[in-house]
Amino acid sequence: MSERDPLEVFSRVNPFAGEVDAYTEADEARLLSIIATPVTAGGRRPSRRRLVVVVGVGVVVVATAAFALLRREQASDPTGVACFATADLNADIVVLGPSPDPVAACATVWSDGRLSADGPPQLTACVNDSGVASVFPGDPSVCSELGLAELVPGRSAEHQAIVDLQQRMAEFYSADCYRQPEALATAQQLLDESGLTGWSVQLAEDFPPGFECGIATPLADARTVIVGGGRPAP
Amino acid sequence: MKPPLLRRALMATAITLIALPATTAAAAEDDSAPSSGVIAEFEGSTINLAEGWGDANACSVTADGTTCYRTEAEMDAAVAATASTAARLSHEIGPLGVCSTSLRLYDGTSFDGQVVSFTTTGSLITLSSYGFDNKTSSYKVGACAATLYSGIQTSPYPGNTGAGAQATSMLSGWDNTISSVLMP
Repeated sequence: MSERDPLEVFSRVNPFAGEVDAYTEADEARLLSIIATPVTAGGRRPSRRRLVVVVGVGVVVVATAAFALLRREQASDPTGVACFATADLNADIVVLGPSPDPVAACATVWSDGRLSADGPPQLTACVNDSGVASVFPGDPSVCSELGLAELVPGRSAEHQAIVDLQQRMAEFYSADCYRQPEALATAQQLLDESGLTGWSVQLAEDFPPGFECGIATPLADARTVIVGGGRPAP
Repeated sequence: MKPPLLRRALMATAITLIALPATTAAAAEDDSAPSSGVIAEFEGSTINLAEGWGDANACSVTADGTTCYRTEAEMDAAVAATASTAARLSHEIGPLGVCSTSLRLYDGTSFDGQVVSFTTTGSLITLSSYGFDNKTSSYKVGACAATLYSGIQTSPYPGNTGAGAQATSMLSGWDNTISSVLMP
């Protein structure tokens, strides 16, 4: 045999040479214990963890997709309606005043020449990221395609109170010239009478020259009535 | 501000219901012009009231024309439905004031790019609500004077925003700064 014979090489490097006789009952017991232990037990634990993670991620993905597809909510800002010319958030927009039926409101814009004179296509109301009713041409899938919630029609009592306050303030401040102190006091009085709670009146800035007559407007997202100079004194 | 559609519809109905008998009576008495009677819609066809009412027993005259019905109750129901539609339309237009022509804000200079238009008067409009905050680069003002603000009703734009004004670009330092608008 040459020195390259592998068996010869192995026998020379064998670290247990001459110790094979030291086989005891304790060794046998240890061997049985090892055999009785499931070989894959240690390896399965990471696999189960991985499985749990995969299932968990799958559930989250499916739930998120379902939430996006089925998301429906009321407009949190009822003070206006946006009518979009196309199913695109960067499309031309006609902004209307508040409406309990945004689709019907925007349909008029599609008929009177502001967006088209050919009559409205199928329209769907969504809620944009600011909580405003936003109406797009298209079927109800347009909302999820744009990442928006579908609009739930109707108004809560609070939203109705906001719209009523908006209307009342528009009437009050267009009928008379309220200079800064009276404008603030009137806004507070109208707010108190509205029944809205958790709201406050805020001065935008001291009325600048040329804007001596105030205008007050409820801002739904900030739960604030903003009062500022709106037009010159008569 | 225009009177609500409901009120206008009711006013028109009231006036013409009173006017109808006189008109038909006059037509009936004027034998020289029998063909100039009132043409009315009745159950999907038309009838000339000067030549007789046929099976119709009640007619409603509005600015849109004359419609006849077999019974007065039928007419009352139809008029009520019309009033309801008018009331609904008045809500669609919105309770706030409406300017006859819109204020238009453009994303680009020279009236280019995305345009957002407004007709609501008497109430501040925050542009962030419509994804148009700090985007205005040119504008056209409609029939109602407008104020453009760089803040929320703060720092009014000093350029001309009177009725009919327009600008292909903003004054120096004001491009992409408008955050709220108001047509008082």
